[in-house]
Amino acid sequence: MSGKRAKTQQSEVRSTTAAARPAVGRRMFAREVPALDLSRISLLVVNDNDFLRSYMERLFGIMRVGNVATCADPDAARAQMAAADPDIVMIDLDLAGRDGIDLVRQIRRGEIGPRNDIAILVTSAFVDRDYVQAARNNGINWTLVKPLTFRRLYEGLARVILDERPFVEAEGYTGPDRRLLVGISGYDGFERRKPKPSEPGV
Amino acid sequence: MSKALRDKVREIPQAQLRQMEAGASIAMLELSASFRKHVNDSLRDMFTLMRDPQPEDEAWRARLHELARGLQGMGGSFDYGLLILIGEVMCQTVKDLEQSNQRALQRRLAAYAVALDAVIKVDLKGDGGANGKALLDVLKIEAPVS
Repeated sequence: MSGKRAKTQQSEVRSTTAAARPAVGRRMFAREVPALDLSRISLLVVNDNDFLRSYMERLFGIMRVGNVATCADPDAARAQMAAADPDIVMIDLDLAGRDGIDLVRQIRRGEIGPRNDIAILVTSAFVDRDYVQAARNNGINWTLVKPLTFRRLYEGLARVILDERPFVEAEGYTGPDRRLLVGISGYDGFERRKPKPSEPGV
Repeated sequence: MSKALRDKVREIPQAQLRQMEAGASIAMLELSASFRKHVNDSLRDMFTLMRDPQPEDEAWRARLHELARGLQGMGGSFDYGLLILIGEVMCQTVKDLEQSNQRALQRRLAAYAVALDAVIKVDLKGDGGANGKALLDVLKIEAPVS
């Protein structure tokens, strides 16, 4: 019993030591969501529902996110972007719809906010909606499917923070590289065209 | 892409995350009570409006739209996917009412209000399973992939 406790304490010591390291590997993320200190993260939530805004503020408070600003619509977000200088913008697409996509597009074009590579997280109840696809094609980092539970919100933040995909600035697209499926079921998307050992020419 | 962002965080022991989750569970109980109150107040106001329909009155339509939209938004918090879906269709129907004041649209709005109430009263969470499907069939709303 005491041996087991000692082992637990030892592993906690290892975890604490790991705390000094800034980030985690992408393979690890595929298995387990890392616990992160989010106290230096600044977040802007765009959602026109009063209850949902206060609900998310409460949960982000429990996650100890450093700074959480909220606004009711994309217009207010446009006005607030420069002042808030968020690390992550979270937009509810079910409520903002096309206006939300316009906001994404403007951020990526550098028309609003201090920089165009801000992490963008969108939320939607329906993954098959055209606006979700449109948001992806306009450079969002991740889509969170509702309901917005504590765990799901936390995982969404962790995903966009640890997103290692390169940021692409091309003529028709600005945003994270869409070709890489980092961290999904252990597949990291790298070297996917590399011939397998069983294939000819290897 | 976001090395600067990654550098702002550091890993902490998983135990701390579990502690936060435990705190969130308590908060969710409190928020659940607030959610119920908001939803019930909105439904009450919606039925008050529906008892005296004034589809040609812009203020009446705006208030109904606001209430449907509010319910749609709240559905995203406690897994009431049907609130989101029916609320969304109701919002669109209120907009359609601007173009033409049809009795059929008014009947549909009344049906949506009753359906939203049923979702809460019967506690149809998520897609509502077989009951949710039956409800959407009656309302002639296509269930989306979620």
